[in-house]
Amino acid sequence: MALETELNRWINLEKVSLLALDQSVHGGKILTQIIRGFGIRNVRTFSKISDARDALRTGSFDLIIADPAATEGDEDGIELVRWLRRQDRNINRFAPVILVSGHSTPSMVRRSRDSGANFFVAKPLTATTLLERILWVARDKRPFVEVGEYLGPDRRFKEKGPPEGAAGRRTNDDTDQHPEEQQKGAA
Amino acid sequence: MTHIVRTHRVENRLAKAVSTSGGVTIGEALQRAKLGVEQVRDEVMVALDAKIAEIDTVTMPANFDGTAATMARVYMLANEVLNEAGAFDLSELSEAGRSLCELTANWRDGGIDVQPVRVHVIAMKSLRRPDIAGDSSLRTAVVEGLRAVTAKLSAQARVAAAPAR
Repeated sequence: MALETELNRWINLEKVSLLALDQSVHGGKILTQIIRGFGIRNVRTFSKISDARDALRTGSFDLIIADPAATEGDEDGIELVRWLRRQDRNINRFAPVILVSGHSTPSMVRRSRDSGANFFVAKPLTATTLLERILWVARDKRPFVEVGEYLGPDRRFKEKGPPEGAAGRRTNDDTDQHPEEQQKGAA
Repeated sequence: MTHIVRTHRVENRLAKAVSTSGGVTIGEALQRAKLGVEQVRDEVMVALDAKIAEIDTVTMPANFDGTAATMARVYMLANEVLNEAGAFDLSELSEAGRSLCELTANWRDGGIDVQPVRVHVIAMKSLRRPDIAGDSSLRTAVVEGLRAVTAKLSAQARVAAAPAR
């Protein structure tokens, strides 16, 4: 979705409660200013992972935006997401998570992908990019899947079912051909 | 190896919250966000200069110890410069921060020659000078120089890290 073509569309984020984690105080301020500009009033911003974790234990959030590079001891923002997804009784366990990262090493990108976050966004942050991602996540209908160590949104963006000739691993696997594949087959 | 897959169909509370009537247009939301960011510009610029000054201090040859802790600190500060300069359209300064991140990420365990780091510090300080900040061709030249330094050293680091045949 290109927001430039939808500038007159109405959105209402007033009732969204959001947790933000950014190790840089000023990075957190920039993020908070952008978010408040979108109309989100209930924003709690943290610079320490332990404080963010405490808030996730006790509060309820509709959206989490975290910097994967935030570190405290041996833990980082990615570990916080992994921890959250493994909390059986936590109300925020399935809350959408957008990871917002500055410089990223290949291993950070790989770990972020496997953490269970919904989306990975590169800094520097712009209001347009962040709002696009928030609205995208709000429309995201992918189920959460739990397989091996992974718990998070289904990483298959297109449900094409299992590979041809292979039995699906999931009870809800779409064993019918994807419409595009059907068209190719018919051609 | 076969894994058992469990699927959870969960309520998207964000979708529910967003779908209520009222609010603002997307254009207005973006405009308000940009105005909000402008409100913290002065404060962030002061902080940016302080971060560049700290990188400068810890990487002066007389102070530089080259330890992993120092490199991690320089990497973190450079990452903050990348983000915070970029949020205010200081794209060349942001790019200088990214280049320094790239450089130091290859030497997170120490062992780096401080000179290329110093080149980045001088470039960052230059990009904050009004005469250079106001001249786009000079800004571009500064960043292109940094990219060349980092690309050369990163290639050397990859060769050094590659297993011997």
